[in-house]
Amino acid sequence: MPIQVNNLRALQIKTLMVWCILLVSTLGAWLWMERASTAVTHVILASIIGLAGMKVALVIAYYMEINHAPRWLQALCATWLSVVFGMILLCYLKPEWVRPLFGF
Amino acid sequence: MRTNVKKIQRHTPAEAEFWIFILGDMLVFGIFFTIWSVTQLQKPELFSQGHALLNHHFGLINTVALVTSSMFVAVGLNDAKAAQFNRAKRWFKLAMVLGGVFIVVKFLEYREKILADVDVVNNDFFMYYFVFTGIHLIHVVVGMIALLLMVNRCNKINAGAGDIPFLEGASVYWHMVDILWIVLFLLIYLI
Repeated sequence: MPIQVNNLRALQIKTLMVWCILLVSTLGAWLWMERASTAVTHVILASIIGLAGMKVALVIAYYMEINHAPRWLQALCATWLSVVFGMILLCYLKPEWVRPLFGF
Repeated sequence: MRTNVKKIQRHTPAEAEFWIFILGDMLVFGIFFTIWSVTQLQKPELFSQGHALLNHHFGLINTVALVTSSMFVAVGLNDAKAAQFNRAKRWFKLAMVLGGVFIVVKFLEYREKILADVDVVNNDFFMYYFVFTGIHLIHVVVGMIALLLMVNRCNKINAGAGDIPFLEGASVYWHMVDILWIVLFLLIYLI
């Protein structure tokens, strides 16, 4: 059944708003890291990683339409997102926890 | 007392079996991300040097291109679901243009590195850089073929609701390519 015209407009606006957030956070993170160069603190790193995680979550939820998907698919996507970004956060913020796991 | 509970209509975008492939691919890239993150722990100076040699502007252009093309695909799919196949087709073509921009910029970036004589064999940073971004680039090329097939589907005289599962599947694949690049951009260019 086709989407109703007024719903389509609302849907397109939502899609565009997600893109605006993606674009601003991409440019913001890039500029931030370019300016930070040698003075990258844990707070900056965690923020940049968090921004990337947010971007991936937005694409999964609104572009892949997982926000309306069955629970099993939402759970799998959420697990991937959590494991990947959890791993990245650990490696970059708590390397002393990760090194023993890999024997160095 | 009656309470009206609005039930969300749950829907699996594309065929459920297609998600085995999508999630499998995401799992493989998850392993790539782990390899990169752990290796940079082992060789922080090498990765710092490699990071400094990258063209960060190319990385940014590619991210903006893929994120925007993802938006075009999402907008196009919305139009297709509203039976506006001609409009949908235009959005998919725009997404292809940006996919082409990504491929050209990647080519220029690789050429820059090759001309600079980077050591791919003995330098783990550049070895993983070329392997991971190269495999991702192959995914982009496959995605471009999928986008072309989407345009063809919308071109059909009798394009209709029966075409939506295919369009959804191809869209999901393109968005996957986008999210994998967002993580690669983070690990390789940003941090």
